[in-house]
Amino acid sequence: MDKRSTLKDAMSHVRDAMTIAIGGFGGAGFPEELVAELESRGCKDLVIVSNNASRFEQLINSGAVSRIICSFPFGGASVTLRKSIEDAGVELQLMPQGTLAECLRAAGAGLGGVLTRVGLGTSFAKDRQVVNVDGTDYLLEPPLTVDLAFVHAEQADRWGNLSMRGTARNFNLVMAMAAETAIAQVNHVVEVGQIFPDRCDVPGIFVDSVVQCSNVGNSKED
Amino acid sequence: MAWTRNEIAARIASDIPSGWVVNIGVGIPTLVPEFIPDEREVLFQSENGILGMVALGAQDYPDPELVDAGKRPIAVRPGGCFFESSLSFAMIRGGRIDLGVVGALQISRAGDIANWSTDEKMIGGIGGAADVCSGVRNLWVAMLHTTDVGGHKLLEKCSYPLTAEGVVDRVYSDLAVLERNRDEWHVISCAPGVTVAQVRHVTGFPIEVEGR
Repeated sequence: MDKRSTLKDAMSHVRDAMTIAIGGFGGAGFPEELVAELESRGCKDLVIVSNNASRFEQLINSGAVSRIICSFPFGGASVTLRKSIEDAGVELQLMPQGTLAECLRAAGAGLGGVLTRVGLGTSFAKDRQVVNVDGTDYLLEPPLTVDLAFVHAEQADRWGNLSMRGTARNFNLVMAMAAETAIAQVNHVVEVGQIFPDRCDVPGIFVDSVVQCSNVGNSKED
Repeated sequence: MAWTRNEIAARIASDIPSGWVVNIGVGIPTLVPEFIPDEREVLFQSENGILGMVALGAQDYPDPELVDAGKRPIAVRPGGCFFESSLSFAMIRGGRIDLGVVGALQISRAGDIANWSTDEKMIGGIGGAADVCSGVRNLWVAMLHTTDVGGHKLLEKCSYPLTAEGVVDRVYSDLAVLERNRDEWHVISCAPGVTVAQVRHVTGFPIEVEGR
């Protein structure tokens, strides 16, 4: 079993109109080389699922994106992002961050949705069914399944086991879980057995392709 | 005289007991940790997956993979830990966070909070604000009492899109500390030289007569 792949081969999974979840919180745990390759492919009608939107401005400007599902689109340094989204006619769908994470997890965990009190009585309850369990109201949030996930890790082995550092974990586990196909950009590929069982953040069964970063150690400040 | 932003943060810090786990939002709340004395064990949680967050020390090397919710480089204290997003929000929704300290655009008499978008413009997005405001055991708001032009931010009803309903326990403003019990608000203390009558004048809902 060898999931190591070149960037080009891994990205051959990409098709127009796919829903692609992209990990990272700002720059931490963000698979920037996979996104750079996606930018070069001239795709159309992509749905991007990510916590932030500031790193997708080029993708948006190139007309590749029809919808973005995220929690905090305008957190980055960009002052032109709002205009880019407007000009490109991109639909912006906001979800509370914890709901976004849990709906991805639910999709990967074989669950039919999430019951949460977050968003009750707010605009996030619009078009959501309210379910009462033992006297308490909850919003029913459907699972968020994605075609592809682009994730990032510090280390991987050829089986796809991933190990991460610090706050780079963020959405990378739940996105790999939610995806039909998950592609991991990693700083280092190590031998099977070198990722300690205690330090495996994403079991390899959730990962399909492992791509070695070419630019290890680049600054990723937002 | 009104409290400064630092004085608001210091006042909040002085009210946080040892052993509490605290999630802090952007704005004045980010100033709170520096006013917690070293000997008091308060754990700061950040939604992007860290418990035991501390400010980057002068000797620390900034790590792009170690940032706070505002994407600024931070460090972790001994006993701290990292985790992924769904576990982070399980802590938040699951009632494991003793206190959230957040900023706000508007607060209503019933404890509703609006802090992510005005009618015209969303500030950055909802982010983790709805989860934090709905999920924490106590929610304290750090804010200036009025808008730049002197308008009310503490209102009978919020006009901006809500972040969460009926969740605010206390407001720490530049003029006073107020506490809510259902629809009733009391002044816990006023800034030096500020009277309850002055606080009432700039508050859009009634404040009960007797303080505490």
